[in-house]
Amino acid sequence: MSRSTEHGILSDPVSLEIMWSRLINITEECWITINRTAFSLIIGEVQDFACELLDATGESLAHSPRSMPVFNLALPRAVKALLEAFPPETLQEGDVLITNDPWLCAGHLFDVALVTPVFREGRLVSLVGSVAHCSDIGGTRDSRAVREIYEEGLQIPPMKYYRAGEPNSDLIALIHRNVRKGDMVIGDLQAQYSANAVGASGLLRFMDEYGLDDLSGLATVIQGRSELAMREAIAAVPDGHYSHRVRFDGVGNPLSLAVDIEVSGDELIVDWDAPPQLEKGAINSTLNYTAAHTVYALKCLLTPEIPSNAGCFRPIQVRAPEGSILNCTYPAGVNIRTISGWYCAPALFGALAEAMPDRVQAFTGLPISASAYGRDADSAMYNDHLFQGGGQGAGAPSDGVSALLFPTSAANTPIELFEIRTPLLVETKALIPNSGGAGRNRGGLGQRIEFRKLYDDGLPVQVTVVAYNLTEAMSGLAGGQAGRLSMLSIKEGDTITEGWDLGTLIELRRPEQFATFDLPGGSGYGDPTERPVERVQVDYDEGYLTEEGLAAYDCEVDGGGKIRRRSANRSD
Amino acid sequence: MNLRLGVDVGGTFTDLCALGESGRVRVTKVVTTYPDPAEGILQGVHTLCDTGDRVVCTILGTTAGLNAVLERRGAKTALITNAGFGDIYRMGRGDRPEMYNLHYHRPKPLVPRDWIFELPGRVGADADIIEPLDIERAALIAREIDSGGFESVAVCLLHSYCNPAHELELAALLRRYAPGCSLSLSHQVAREWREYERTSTTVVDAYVRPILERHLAELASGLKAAGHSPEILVMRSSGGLMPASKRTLEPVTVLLSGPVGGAIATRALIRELGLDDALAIDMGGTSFDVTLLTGGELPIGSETEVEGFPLLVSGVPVHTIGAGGGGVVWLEGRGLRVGPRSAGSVPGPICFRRGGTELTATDANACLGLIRSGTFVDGDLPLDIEAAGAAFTLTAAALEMDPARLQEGVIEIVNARMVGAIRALTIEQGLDARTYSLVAYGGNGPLHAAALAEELGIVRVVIPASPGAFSAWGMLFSEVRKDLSLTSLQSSSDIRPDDLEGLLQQLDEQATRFLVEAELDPGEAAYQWRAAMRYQGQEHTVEVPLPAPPASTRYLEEVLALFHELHQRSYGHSHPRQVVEFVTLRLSVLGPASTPEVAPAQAQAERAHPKECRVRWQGREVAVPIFHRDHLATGGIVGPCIVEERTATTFVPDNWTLEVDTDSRSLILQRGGA
Repeated sequence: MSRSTEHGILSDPVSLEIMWSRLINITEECWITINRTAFSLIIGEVQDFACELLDATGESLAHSPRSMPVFNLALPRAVKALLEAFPPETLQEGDVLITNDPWLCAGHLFDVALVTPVFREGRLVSLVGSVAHCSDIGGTRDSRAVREIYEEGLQIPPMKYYRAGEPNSDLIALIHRNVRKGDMVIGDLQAQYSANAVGASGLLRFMDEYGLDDLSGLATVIQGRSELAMREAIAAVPDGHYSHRVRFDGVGNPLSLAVDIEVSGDELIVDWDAPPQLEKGAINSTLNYTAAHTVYALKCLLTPEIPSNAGCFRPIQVRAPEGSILNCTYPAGVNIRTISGWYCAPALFGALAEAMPDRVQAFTGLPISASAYGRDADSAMYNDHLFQGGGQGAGAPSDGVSALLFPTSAANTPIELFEIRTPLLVETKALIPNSGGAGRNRGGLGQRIEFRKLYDDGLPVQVTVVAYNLTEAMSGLAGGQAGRLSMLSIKEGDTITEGWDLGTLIELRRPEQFATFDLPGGSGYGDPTERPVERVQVDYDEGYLTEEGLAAYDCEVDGGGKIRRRSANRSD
Repeated sequence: MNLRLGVDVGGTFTDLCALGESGRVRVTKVVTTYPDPAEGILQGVHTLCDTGDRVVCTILGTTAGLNAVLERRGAKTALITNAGFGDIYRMGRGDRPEMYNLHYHRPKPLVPRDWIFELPGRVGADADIIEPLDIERAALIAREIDSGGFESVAVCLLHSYCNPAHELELAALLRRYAPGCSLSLSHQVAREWREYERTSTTVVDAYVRPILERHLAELASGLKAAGHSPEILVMRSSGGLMPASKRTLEPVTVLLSGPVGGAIATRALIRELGLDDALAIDMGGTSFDVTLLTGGELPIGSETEVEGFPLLVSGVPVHTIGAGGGGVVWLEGRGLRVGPRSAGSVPGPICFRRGGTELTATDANACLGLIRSGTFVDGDLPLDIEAAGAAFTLTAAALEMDPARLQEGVIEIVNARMVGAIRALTIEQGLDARTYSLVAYGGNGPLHAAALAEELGIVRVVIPASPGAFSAWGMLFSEVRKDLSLTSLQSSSDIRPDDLEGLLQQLDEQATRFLVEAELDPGEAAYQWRAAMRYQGQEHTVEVPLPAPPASTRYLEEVLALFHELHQRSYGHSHPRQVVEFVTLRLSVLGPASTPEVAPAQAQAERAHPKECRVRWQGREVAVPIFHRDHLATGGIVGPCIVEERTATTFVPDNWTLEVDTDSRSLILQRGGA
């Protein structure tokens, strides 16, 4: 049956395009359902979630065009594990599966996968899944102190969230009791549940319309098409080994990662070399998370325009030494695994900088997440995220964008909504002049966020901060310079406390305490002295560069505000 | 005779359509004039009017604002923000719409960073004044703006949606110290939370306001000088009309008004023809617009965007791609591409002989014999088909293919892109295009419509009267509309029925004030009430249509029940016992709709003996009869045939038949002669 369908699909390229878009549109409908019915800012505004359709074997078919990239790349592994725990023949209509196992899913307990099997005439034909970052999962708010995952909150192994259409109320009660703001967390899970249901019914309508008994034929064709596109893109990269090493802030001491990419014909092997997993600090990444970041960065470089599905990643293998921070073993602490995992993309871009000079991007200043938690004067609990981006790295085509979120596709938190939700007042949200790494193309600027308690009520506000690039600068590509580092400080009167560690937990008690986060700038691309003077002038006129930032471009400003190159001057 | 005038100002042409008391319709087309489009409109008015005619009301749809944004030709605009937040406008939401695109770029901002002014003073999330407005600094900024040659100012302060006091204080100072500047205040332009989206909307409003004000003032005074009434109504993106006085002008709401006229005309036409579902397609020289009308209604979205800038104003979703008759043919490697760039009207297609050197889809149509010199625009625009043919020969040689095949290929590519756009739009909404009628207009729509319908499996095509001026015609069918909103967070656990009614009463009073300003009778206006509601703790809202308040003493209860029901219907779950919040209350006021009486068609002569010409169609040369539209009485003609008229040419392929609907004066094409 599926054979003939496959043949039929191949013979009509127009229908194939329509069917393919329909699958993507179904995931988009799921996405909208979560976005519109979510309860937390991290899902409703920051959009830290993804929706995906998978074939009956758990391979990806299509995902929502707006997605947390790592989520949709990690979900197939989770789905396969769920199918192992609950084999298809044991599943019933109305079952909904759940897990937040970091080794199976997206690398820390906050990211919860909810997966709904879709049946047609009693047979499993597909799975609709979503992964969303819930606003809380219990456990400590101080990840630096974590030694094992048990301290990080509630672990949900593969389980059923719904059984044959009935909510698993034991599990729901357990989750509700173990997290901060249980209503919010359960409300968001419910939004995921509804989205999956929307996707399942959309998919069945689609199959009716096209007279499909199963999706295997369609899956074979579209995964095959994407695979072919990826193979062609890899084949265009000259065979050989490409390697690079990046250094970044660890807990206390800097760490480094090295990558070796072996391109051979139309296949590619990524071999990571990483230090042993840390016993304290929760910055360890599971292999699933490492692999997701690896293939995401490679997809951006190789086939950005091809819709993503399992086929894209068949020609790519990812390895990392077991027991290292990129392939940690249970029960390592993993909560702030972005601190290692977010360096995969810059390492890969560095390795391929010479082979793909027009495609790569210099280092993007990493986002800072600050979640504010406490109780207000009416004893009502709040727990919401202020998420903001750094400067985008420059590339061969252009300057980096300022204040952009990467390697996520999230959006920042609107200040007005953060202030409605929390008793904090944001005093500043502004670009930081000179923070973009100098280059022929300049890195995007970082931004400064400053906030304080609004009321003098003596109630503490706990702020958990996950920050990067505090000490280790990341040089640009092709001669570009590093962007400005992150800085975190609390100022009270004349006293300034600086130099926090990664994953810091701070407490604000008085409105006089001003917390400041400087987000890092992006790194530059190309030799800054080759940047045309006119473009330096524009940056100067718009305040992206001040006088002190001109030296990097070998420029200076005259009394009339006109920029000129110093070396050109000297030669006069 | 008294005339009502519909005007559609496009990027290249301005279309005018006048309707007299007798029901007679007159249309004309003039070249859009720059920088003052009023000049071209007045020229057109002069052409349309006989001695003794007087225009009593002009309804204007214009892309002047949109083009000013797209081409960055708007007013010199300053932006005033809270101290510490001047960069909100440039930072946006920090997201990337294409998740795998590393080199994503934001649109170029309309206000450069050094024209953004920051002002101390702060309102909090609960509407309290946390820090008073710095009046001295505000006065200084106002003077700086005055001396800096700014034409317009956008003001967006944090939390002004719940307490606009600081924006109003600042406005008073700006009026005093910078009296020459236009002013757009965020709480008046878009009274909703999310500071970036509100700022973006306000900046666009400010950026186009002086241009629209000038444009409208010039048009009004020109109309007056020519003895007409200066009364002008402007089409909004939402399809409603807005009186054009300075007090009532809301520039950002008219940004996407150009294509909306056609959608409104389509709605009127399909209602008259008794059709439910239609795809309105407008193919002009530069772009192809599609609007989807399901159940005979215009869809209206509550948010729109232009070039990636979010706009918190409602609008009819019009899907636009660069695929018009002027779409340029180019080679990429050894592949053939057409558009999206257009040759426009100047230099235009090669066959227009206005200096164009690049082949276009229109050149292909001319070479294939589908449009003819001598009858194209009634012969006012002679076509140099030889020059176009020579250019095709050269390009075909480079591709090692037959020139005629190349010409057909160009049309196939353009059609495929339009089909793709229609599919994307219908599929996006899970709709089956095959069950829709295709209403085709714009200069090129009728020529391509049947081919698109074939490809889409659509069996009925409707070509309205004067397809080239159909959007202008649609302007005559709209009504005055004003959207009001009030953001006030209220919880179902403590709101009393009186509170809700009090808030709705405030909107009602604003509506009355507007109607008085617009010189409309409140008794004749229709009111549409809505509330944006959500479950407590939810981030986004659901827009619930409300009964007119207060329908009964149980009004509040009824409204809450409506919300639960809608949430269930939209998202598959509802929680009747949970606390519900009202976020924004909305009221749309609609003035009386105009339903112009149109005289039925009168064929000038009974089906004159047709001429014949040779066209190339699906790889063959075929002889095809040609009719002039004015000479078609009832139809019953079996394709292939061509129908020519001043503003467009219709092609009917060989398995289609053609009927004429006398009342609406439209051509109905049916596939398979159904």
